[in-house]
This record gives sequence, C-alpha cells and structure tokens, in this order.
Amino acid sequence: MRASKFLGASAIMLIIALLPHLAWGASVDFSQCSNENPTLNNCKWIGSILNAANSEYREGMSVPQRLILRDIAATGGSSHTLTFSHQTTKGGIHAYDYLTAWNQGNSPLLTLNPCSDLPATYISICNGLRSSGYEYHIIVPDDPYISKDGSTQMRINAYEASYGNREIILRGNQPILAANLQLAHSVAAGADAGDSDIRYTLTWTSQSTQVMVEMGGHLAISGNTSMDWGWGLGASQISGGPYHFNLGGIDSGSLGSLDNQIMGSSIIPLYNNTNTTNVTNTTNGSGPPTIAPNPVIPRVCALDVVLIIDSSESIDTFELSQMQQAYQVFVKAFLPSTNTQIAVVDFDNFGKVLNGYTSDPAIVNASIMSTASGGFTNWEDALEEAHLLYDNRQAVPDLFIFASDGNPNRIGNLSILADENLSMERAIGKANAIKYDGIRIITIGIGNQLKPDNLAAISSPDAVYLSDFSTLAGTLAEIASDYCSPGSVVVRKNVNGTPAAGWQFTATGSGVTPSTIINTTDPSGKLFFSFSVNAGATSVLSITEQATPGYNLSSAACWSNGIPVGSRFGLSMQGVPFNSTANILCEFNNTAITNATNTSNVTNITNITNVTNTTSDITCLSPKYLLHSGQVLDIPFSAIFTASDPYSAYDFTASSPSRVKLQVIASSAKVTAEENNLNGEQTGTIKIQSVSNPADTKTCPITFHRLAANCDSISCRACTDFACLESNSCLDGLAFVLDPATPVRLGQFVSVTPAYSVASFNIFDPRYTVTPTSGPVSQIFSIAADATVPDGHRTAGRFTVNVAGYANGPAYVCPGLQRWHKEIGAPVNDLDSDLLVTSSRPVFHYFEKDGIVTMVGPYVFTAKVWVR
Amino acid sequence: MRKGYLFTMDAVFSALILIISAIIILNQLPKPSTDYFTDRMGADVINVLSHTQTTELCSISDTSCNCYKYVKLEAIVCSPVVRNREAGILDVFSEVILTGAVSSKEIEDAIHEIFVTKNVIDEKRFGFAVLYSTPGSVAPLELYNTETYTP
Repeated sequence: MRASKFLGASAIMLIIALLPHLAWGASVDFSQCSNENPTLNNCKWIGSILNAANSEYREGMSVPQRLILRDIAATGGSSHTLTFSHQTTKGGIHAYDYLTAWNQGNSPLLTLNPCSDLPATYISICNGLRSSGYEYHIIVPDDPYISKDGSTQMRINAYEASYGNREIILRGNQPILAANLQLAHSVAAGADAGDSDIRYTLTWTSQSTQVMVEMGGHLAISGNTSMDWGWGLGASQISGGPYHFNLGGIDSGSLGSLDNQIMGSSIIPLYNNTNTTNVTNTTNGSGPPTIAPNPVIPRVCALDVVLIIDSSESIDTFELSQMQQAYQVFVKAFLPSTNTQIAVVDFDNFGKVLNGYTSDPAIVNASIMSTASGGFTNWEDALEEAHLLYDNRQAVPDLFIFASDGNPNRIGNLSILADENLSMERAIGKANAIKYDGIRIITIGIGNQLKPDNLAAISSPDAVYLSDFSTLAGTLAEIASDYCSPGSVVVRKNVNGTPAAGWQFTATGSGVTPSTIINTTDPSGKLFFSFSVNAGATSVLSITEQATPGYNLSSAACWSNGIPVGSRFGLSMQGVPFNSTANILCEFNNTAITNATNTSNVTNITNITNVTNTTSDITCLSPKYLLHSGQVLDIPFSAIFTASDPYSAYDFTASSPSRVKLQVIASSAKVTAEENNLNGEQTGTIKIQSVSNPADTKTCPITFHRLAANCDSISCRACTDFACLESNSCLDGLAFVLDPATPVRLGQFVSVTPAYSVASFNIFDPRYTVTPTSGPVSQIFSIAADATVPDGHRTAGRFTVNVAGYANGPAYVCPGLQRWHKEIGAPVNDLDSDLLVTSSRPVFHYFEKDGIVTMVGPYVFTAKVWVR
Repeated sequence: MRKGYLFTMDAVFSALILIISAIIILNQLPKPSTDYFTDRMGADVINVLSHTQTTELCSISDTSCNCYKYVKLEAIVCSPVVRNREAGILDVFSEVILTGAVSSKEIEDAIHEIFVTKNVIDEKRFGFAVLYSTPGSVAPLELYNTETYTP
C-alpha cells in the first residue's frame, strides 16, 4: 500500500512534469551542423555537442541551427509564438554575439544538406517545407545592447557592411501571413561580465501545422577590428564547459528545453594576437572593401622600398630562380649607388620579413636567394608584415613592390583557408591602411593565373605591371628607372586622369647630346628622354607636348629629385635644369573636350557671317554667360544686340535681303574659353558692321564666366547617383564626412569670382544630411552621416550655384564625399616592444579652417598608475 | 639543568625553524600583482577619458554651455575657441592641444578635477600620470602627474 502510494505520487509528478509537453502536442527536431563529421565543411546535423572531434569552426563563422516543428496546435487567429535563446557571454567572454542566416559569412560556404540526418517522418516534413514555397524572411532586429566591451550594434554594423543584412528563414506548410522577431538581453547594459543570454521571441501568423526555422549563431571574434570584441574575448577563448543555443517553448508550452551546445575548443581564432596591431590598424576597422587611392610619390633615388615576394608552391624551382635573378637586377639599380634602403618580405601561407630596411645589397640579395617555393597564397599577411616595417625614414618616400603569381586563398596570420572574395576583402583592407600612410604600392602579376583587377584593388590601375617569369627582370628594371635613372627625363601623360599612349613630346636643350629628341608615350603613358651632358655641366631643357585637337592641357609640371623645376609656357615646360645626376619627372595632364570645339567660340555662336544693313539703331545688351564644361553655347544674335525699327524685324540670316557683317574682336586669345583653360571671367566683343558702309559699326561686349569646376553642367545633370558621377571622373574635390559633422563651403572645392549664392546643396545618399541646404557665398554647410554608414563609404553631393547676372545658370559643383568614421580605437602597441599597452588610446582629430577640414593624428594618450 | 637547557634550545630552534619555514612558504604563495593592478587602473583612467562624452558631464546647446560640477572641464569644453565640443574628452583635449587654445595648466586642472577631486582615484594611495604623444614625438608629453601637480 505504501509502495503503491509512492508509485502513485511519482506518476503524478511525472505527469505534471510532462504536462506542458503533452498538452500542446507539438514535436520538434532541433539540431545543428557539425562541420567536420567527418568531411570538413560538410554538415552532419546533430542534436548533441559540437566539439573538436566533429567540428572545426573559426570565429566569425555562423553555426547553422535547424528547427523543425510538427503537430502545431491551432490557435485563435493562427498566431504563434516561439521562444529561444543563446548564450552571448560565458564568464564574460563573448560566445554567440548575434543571429545570422544559417550560412551567412561562411567562407567557403558549408554544404548544408538541409534535410539530412533526420528521422524518416521529419525528412519528408523537411523536404515538404523547403519545397512548399511558403517561406518568410525575417530581418534580425538591431541590438542596441551595450556590453561591457562596447556596442553590439557597432559590431553588427561592421558585419552587415561586409556580409549584408541578417535574415532568418521561417518556412511553413501553409501561407505565412506575417512574422516578427524580437530580442532582449538577460542582463543590464555593461553587466555581461558573467554568463548572459539573448532571448528571442519569434511570432508568426499562419495555419501551418509544420514549420521550419533556419538560422545561424555568429561566433564572436577576438581581435581589434570593428567586428571584434577585443583580444581574448571571442568565442574560441571560452574554456571549460560548452555554451548553448536553447529552445524555449511554443505558444506558452514547453518544447522540452532542448539545447544545442558547442565547445570553445572546436573553434579556432581568426587572428593571432602577436603582431597584428599597430596604431594605424587599431582605428581602421574592417568595413567594406572600398579601394583607397594609391599615393603618388616623387621620382627620387632615395626611397624606402619593401619587396614583397610570392614564394607559393605554384612557383617551380626554375621560375623561382628567374624571379630571384630579376629581383637582384632591381636591387642593383639602387644599391649601393643611391640612398635607397630595401626590405624584403616573403609570403606563402604567411608573410615573413626576411630582412628589414638596409642599404647593404648583400643582405637584400641573400634574402632574395633564401626564398623557397611552397605553401598557399596569403596576400593579407604579406601586406601586414610589410606594413609593420613602416616608417623607416620619415622624410623618405615609401614604395612597396608586390609581386605574385596567383590570387590569394589564405587570410590572417593563422593562414586560414578562404575563398578569393574574402581573401581579397582582407587584402584590400590591409592595402588601404598602407596607402593611408602615404605608401605607394606597385603590383606585378607574374604569369596568367591571377586577375589584374585583384592587383589593381590593392594598388591602382596605373600601378599594375603584368609580366612572366622570363620578363620579370625587364619589368623590375622599368620600375626602377621610373623612380631613379640619373641623367634622364621621364614624362608621364594622363588624359582625364588615365595614362595615355601615343602622345608625342619633343625635348630640346643646349649643351646636351642630342640637342633634340622626339618620343612617344608607351601604353603605360610614359616615355623616357636620355641625354648626355658633360659631368658638372648644367643645361636647360624644354619639353613640349604636340598639340592635339580636342584636348586641353590642364596642367603640366616637372620635378628634379622631387623638387619642382621649370615653368609652364603654353604646351611646354621650359627652364628645366638638367645635369648628369638629374632625375627628372614631368607630368602633363590633359582633358578631353567633349563637343567643346565650338564651345563659346564667339564666331560660331551666331553662325551668321554676312548680313547687310546699317547698325546705327542697334544697342548692346552686354549678356553674360556661364561656360559650362562640355556644353555648347547657342546664343541667339538677338541676345547680344537689340535692333530698333526698322532693323528689329531682321532675321539676320544669310538669305536676308538686308545684311550686316559680324566680326569677333576677342579681348584676348583666351576668349575661346575651355580649350584655353579659361577660368573666371572673360569679356569678348562682337562688332556688327555694315557691308555697304564699313565705317558704320557697332561693337558690343559679351561676357563669359567659367567656374574652376570639372563637373558643372552636363555631367552633373546627367547623373542621379554617385556611381555615375564616379565613372565620369568629374568630381570637384573630396570631403571627408566626419563625426559629428563636417563643415564645408563651396570655396573649398572651386573658386567663383563674381557674386554667387548656393541655391541648394544636396547629397544623393539619404543617409547623409546637410544643414542648411542653401545659403550665401559665405555659407558653411555641415554634412553628417548616420551611424549606419560604414567607414570608408563614398558618395557625392551637388552644389547648385547661381552666379549673379549670368543668363544660363545655374552651375553645378559635385564634390565626392567619403565617410570617415573613426572611433577611439582599441589599445595600441608599444612601437619598440610591440607589447600591447592597454592604457593607451589613439585619437584622430579634425578641425575646420576657412571651410577646409583637416584630419590629423593619431595622438596617443596613455595613463600610468602606481601605488604610493 | 643541562637537560632543561637542551630542551629549551631545542624548543627555540624548533620555533625558529618553524618561523623561517612559514616565512618561506608564505613568500612562495601567489600574491596579487601590483603591476597588474595598476595596469588595470591605468586602462580604467584612459577608458574614462576616451569613452566619456562631454555631453555626459556638460549641458551643451547652441546658446549655452555648462558643465555644472566640472568647473575646470567647463573652462575647456565651453571655451568659444573649441570647435568640436560635443565629443569625447580625449577628442577635446587633442583639439585644444593641437590648436593651442588653452594652456597645459588648464588641461592639468581638468584631469585633476575628473579623477582626484571627484575621488575616482585616491591620490594618497596612488600616483598617476596621463601622457600624450604625436606621430612625430620623440618622447611623450606629460599632461598630468600627481607628483608635480600644484593646484
């Protein structure tokens, strides 16, 4: 009897325990992807723990979670609520930091096998759900939670900038009318020093009795980019017990408290905290792979050069030998005869510094000869290692020469396998940091196994050389002579900012042999003049471009060992001093004139040359016109002259029985405006003259004004978005959009001499705001970007300018804008010891003066505390 | 007598050996690292300066600027020559250092006010310094040092 009472009580307890489950009747399969079980990156779905024996995840990956529910009881209004959670910190270390799509950001993508490893009944349900067509993509909401280690949303923003918005998918066997996801943290802001969770409530409206949820948990990253939580704070750093992805209940009923667990030991870190940070890197963040401009450095013989040499396994022994010899040719061009210093970085799986900067050619050549073929291709780490050598000599220009025979396939300093896209994103990020330091990167593609676009992305299109192993020596010699070839002149020719081939130049000088050389630019837009001159003697050269119809010479300049020399006269640079050690670079920049031959050519404005009659009753209207870039002015004769009766009725056509003669009297040769590089105001005159009585004349002025704008009319009007503007290459300067707002004024971009006002200043991207949007000549506009705009993002704005008294306004000025969002970064490394100084912070600072914004820094603040 | 003497000596030596052993053992026990502790405090100091926005300590509008309980900080933040006053404290410091808008004494006073006057750091137990360096600095500049600060 007592036993039966005990048995009865136990049974009641069991029933009570199972009541929620039994009452609602829903059944569930909740499993996760073990991605090395046994095949790497091929999912085997398990309901047990992910550990090192069945998985190999790295930080930053999404761990796919699969939930299938069946026999869902009907509810009023077909509205359902599912709760689940995941641990976001364990012992204060970040675990899953947010939800993602179930394969988002995984590189390579996991093979999901979405309906495998299920009981037979669930397999058919899963297949049915995935083919039903009833699916709902649910945006994962923002997470404003402030962790003890900073903002969660800031990291999400960085992630979404690279991998897109985060969505989970809800599938049903009946239409899903609505769905929504909400989240809440289990602890207050900053109180996540122990264990904490994010709790989700997923609601949907559907008559589905079966649903499937596809989602992923993002493994938090240790590191110091904007996606990361700081060193030692990522998912791989959680030791001891596992952390969880928990299932709660559906419609207030329990689903049995299922959870998917993962061990920190199954996760590998993305970065190794040994040498990946310096002051520059700590503040750059990850951001999208916007390609930074490649700095131009002067043509000098004193350089700090890093040779970055690919020695991956795709280079065979013979090719390696050819490559080593080629590099020695380059070294010989500089050392020991010049003040250049050369460092060598070799890379395959990793980047490795073979020697630091040195002027000893024996050391450099020994490093080059020590390279050995083997391993994969890790551009990111190669660039990182090279960057860590910066800045050897502050007064000396820095040049990185990067050569590779294959596209990258490894990332980080742990040489993690990655596809080309991710590898390039990482490499571009490193290259951008290098370029921002003023270092020019020249890239050499060896062979035909890699994409030139990839090389251009880490340098610039004008800094890509394509070669093969047998011609590499010639390529490197050409690069060397580009920068240092005493007794020579290099001319670079650009048209609309792009190197241009086939342009003829003539160089003449007294006391040099030969006295005249004519040469033509090669496909890279360059040519060389080489003269002999007696040692110690100095000559003077003149370098002249051959005039080419349809092009303006917008600028020309020469430098000798980096110092400006000579002066421009028409199409020539004259007075360029030259001797046996001179290392001259001249740059000629032209602009193609689109339909510009007739622009503002006064003779053609009216297209009337023979009209007869007297002019005594004709008065001047003295019109003013804006000369828009690339636009043909079509000014009617009646806008220049007013003729009273009886001449007002004249149509001034060539067939008119009463004709006058028109004659242009230019006040200067530059009245033809754009092709003569006219900026500002210019007045021409037009004389009307009687054919029958030549003494009967009337001269009227006509005034033109051209803003110093590249992009003021047709280009701007044709563009409705930044992509178009960018492809037009007609932006009038660049402004950095900083926090909290960047002050700019029109005068920062162009000069406008007559009185003007800014009718409007608009930015195409709605995430940017301008205050105010119009104003007088002195108006300072403030540009701000909202927090969703990632660092490095580019867009453009447009000033609409009304110039007082001009007939055919307005004019347009279109500045490029780049978001520069600099947070106070992670701790910096000590420059000498490379040890992390946790009590330091770099600060970038900007200030505005006269409408010009200047960015300076980083300034490093450090605090020291000691016990008394 | 002799036995008593020997016993006493025995006892004394035993006690000495015990004491010495205890000292040795105690010395070998792990102790809190002073360096570690002060490093963490240094990080805290710089975190306060870098993550605290002026708007958290001051009320700033187009027409007024008042830092209430931070009079020294107000002298800097609310100075008419500061262009970027709604920013982190370090941002403001870097601006005024760059532009020379205020004297080093004013910055020193503000740091003293934030940490010492407000009892964030007990100056009797701890000394602290805030250093500043630029990309071209040979040696960092001392913005504040408890050992040299005079009110």
